[in-house]
Amino acid sequence: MSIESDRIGNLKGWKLDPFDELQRVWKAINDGALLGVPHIVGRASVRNGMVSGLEMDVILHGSEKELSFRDGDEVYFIIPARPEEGIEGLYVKLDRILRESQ
Amino acid sequence: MKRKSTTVSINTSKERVEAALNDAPSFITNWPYVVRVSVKEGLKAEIMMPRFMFKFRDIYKFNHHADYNSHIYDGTGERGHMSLVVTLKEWQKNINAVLELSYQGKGEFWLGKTLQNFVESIGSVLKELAENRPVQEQIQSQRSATGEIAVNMDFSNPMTVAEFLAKSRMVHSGLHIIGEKGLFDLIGELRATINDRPLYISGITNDGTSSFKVLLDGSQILAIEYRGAEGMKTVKVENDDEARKAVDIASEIKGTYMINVWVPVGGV
Repeated sequence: MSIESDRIGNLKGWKLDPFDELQRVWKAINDGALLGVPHIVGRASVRNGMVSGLEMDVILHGSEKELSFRDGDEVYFIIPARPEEGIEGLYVKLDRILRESQ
Repeated sequence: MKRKSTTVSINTSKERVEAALNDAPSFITNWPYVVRVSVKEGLKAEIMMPRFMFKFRDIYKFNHHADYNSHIYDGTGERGHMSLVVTLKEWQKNINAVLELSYQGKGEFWLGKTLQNFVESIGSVLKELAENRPVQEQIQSQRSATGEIAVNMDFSNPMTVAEFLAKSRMVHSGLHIIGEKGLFDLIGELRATINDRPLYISGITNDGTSSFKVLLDGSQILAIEYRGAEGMKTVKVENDDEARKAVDIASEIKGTYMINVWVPVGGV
């Protein structure tokens, strides 16, 4: 398996600690992985290229689905999360999706 | 004196062609008919030019001169004299290199065809060196840049981690049981299969209550963060005292962790 990040889009940075936020939902991701495919579903506020808010929950799906759309400053997303990718892997995916939305 | 010339179109920037030309020893080593190159007392190349059943072998001492658009490799041998002039012209996005090889010495009246082959092969060698070699240099410079990012990484500032991850890739993932002071064994195991110097190792327990991040350069800990039941400890190593603290923190880590290892892109 390999995950590689690339810098596209216009995202300058984060006003909050994304790793901290992801760590908060980690237990749910791990527990969920025993039953299905965990996904993080949530909303990020992006203003002037800075991520200033992040809310998310973990839900289970039967298969991997990725979806995101933008509504003004808000980006709504569903991202499959795999425990073996770790917090950093999930961060890279989230970062990519937010970049693509800008 | 016999002169033979050729023109090659090189699909790269002038700087890259210049870089290939300025490194005379490796340029000459890649010429055809060159048997041996030595740089001990000046640049010397033993060249063996074949024609019919004969081989014209001589050792030439090369001097390299360059000006704004041309490079001259002037070789003086025991029985002959050989010189190559490379003139560069920028043409649209390409570089046109005109190569002229002249030879004066033993067998020069027979060697016309050999010299033509010689100069054409040098042209294609130059094209190959200029188009491919700088890619390696690019990777190296990228590598040192990511190395710098790695050195600047400070776990108390998540943005430095984000910066690092933006130019990294994951090379290992797995569940590991870390015993008493077992993190060092794990690092040793990982080192055995991963050759990159900067390594970013991140571990998290299933329930997310305990996690750690370690940044290594070789076997040296540059920074460490550990979140456990007693709260969070972060050290960025800049002196001996902090290095001891980092090792203390590392020895506290035990349990079952999902481990991910990241390296800067351009590695492995």
